[in-house]
Amino acid sequence: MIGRSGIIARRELLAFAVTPVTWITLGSALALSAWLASGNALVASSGDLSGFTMLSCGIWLGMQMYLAPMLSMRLLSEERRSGTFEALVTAPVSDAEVVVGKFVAAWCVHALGATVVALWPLIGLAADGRPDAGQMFSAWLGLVGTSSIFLAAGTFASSLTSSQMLAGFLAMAFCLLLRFLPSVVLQTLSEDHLLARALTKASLESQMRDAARGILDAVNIAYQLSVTAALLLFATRTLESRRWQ
Amino acid sequence: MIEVDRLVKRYGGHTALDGISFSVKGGSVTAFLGLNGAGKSTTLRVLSCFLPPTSGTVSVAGFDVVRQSEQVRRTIGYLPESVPLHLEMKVGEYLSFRARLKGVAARDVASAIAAAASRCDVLDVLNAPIGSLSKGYRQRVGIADAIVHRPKVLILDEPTSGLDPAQRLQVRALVRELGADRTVFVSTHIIPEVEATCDTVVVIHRGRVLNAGPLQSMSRGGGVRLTVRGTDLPNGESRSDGTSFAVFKDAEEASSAAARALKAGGQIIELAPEREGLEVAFARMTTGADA
Repeated sequence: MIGRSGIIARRELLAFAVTPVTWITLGSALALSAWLASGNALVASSGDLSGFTMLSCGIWLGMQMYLAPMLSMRLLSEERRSGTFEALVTAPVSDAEVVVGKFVAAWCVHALGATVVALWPLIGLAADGRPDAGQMFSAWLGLVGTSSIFLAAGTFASSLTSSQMLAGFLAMAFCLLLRFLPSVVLQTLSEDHLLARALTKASLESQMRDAARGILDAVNIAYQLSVTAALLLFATRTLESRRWQ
Repeated sequence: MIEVDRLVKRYGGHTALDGISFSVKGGSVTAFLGLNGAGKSTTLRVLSCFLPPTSGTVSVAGFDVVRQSEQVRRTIGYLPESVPLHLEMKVGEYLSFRARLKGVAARDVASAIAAAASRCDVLDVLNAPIGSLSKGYRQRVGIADAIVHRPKVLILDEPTSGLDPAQRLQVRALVRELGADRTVFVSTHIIPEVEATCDTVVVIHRGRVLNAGPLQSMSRGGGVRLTVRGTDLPNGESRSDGTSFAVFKDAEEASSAAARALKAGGQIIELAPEREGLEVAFARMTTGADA
């Protein structure tokens, strides 16, 4: 399975390389992180790395509502629109391999973007002589972990329609739900309620906060992995639905 | 090589295939002939495991398309009607991607691409982006993709659709050539294409198979044609070269007419069985089915 998903991921990376949206996405990430690096130079020079990375991560998380749908909306919808989907799935490859291959390619491009974001602050802090590699890595992991969920949501949205634009809107709606639904429900519950505690852990905002503080929480990582897997499973089932017609 | 038994395919309330059955022998080039909307593409999509049958069984090279879908997909090379290609890729990159996806080992990819590209005459455009190619070239790239893993069965959906006459001739010749060492099942609604490339024909109309068998068996015997020079035939038609001809219902009637023509000083040019063309036979079958 890994082999064929890898072949699909490689082709998808080639497609990303010639798609303008990829460069717009990476360019936005670079510009944002440069702005953050210069805008927060004072904070960074005072050695307050937590504040610096938390602010960066918070804004980056906000950008995911836009970037993840942009990267993932074409993954499957474009194949359907152009007719290449028929050629793809009549090759000896499973629907799950198709979904995983596509997702992995988007994840790689996205991870590159997250690395670019981390790069400027790292250079700034290295110049200042006080880089905290562990905390930077934790923040990076938090970024790619939470973004995995958004990308998987975008992959699922892309499996639902042959229209890229509609897939993009659906992906944004899913991302908004995933990010804000726990907070909205939390407001209706008392603090000591069991569901409230679970929803606090499920909040991507709080997971990013932990990561920015340098806390690598196994529960957070498990949550990110399981939600990502569930969304990719939904996308696979959607592709398989043509067999139920 | 291909066995279709009581295949039914419904889309909601619409029955696209209404219990069709036919078989395709190994090593033959078989045409799947039918008008637009007859159910050709739906059948090919079931054969290629893209769509499941509503009921009935379909097997390719002994593998069931539902239970052994992956084995079927390894066995076949399939070209959908729209010839879907990734236009941003170069031909060589695309064929390499497809070969790897279809299980060609990494060390064999280059030779597999060279063989398929040579067969389909696209060697000279391996470094060209697919988007820059003409429709004829794209069609041949699509066929090269279908054969790059050396499949036992090749399934082509309207491979000459949208091509100009010269390109059609090229693709027909290619299909005929590919049939020399594998089973080819090709859907079409173009009758000269069937006559030029196929050994056997399956005729489908409105989701039902009307006839299946060798090309020759499709057309009925249409009596006996007598062509003479130097005299006229009863109910005969004259040609500009000075001959006239008539079609008689049997050999006895034609022999009598020939004897009379000779007695009248005429010369017998031809006395041969008259067969209706596939076009006439196809029209007869489909009109009969509609009646």
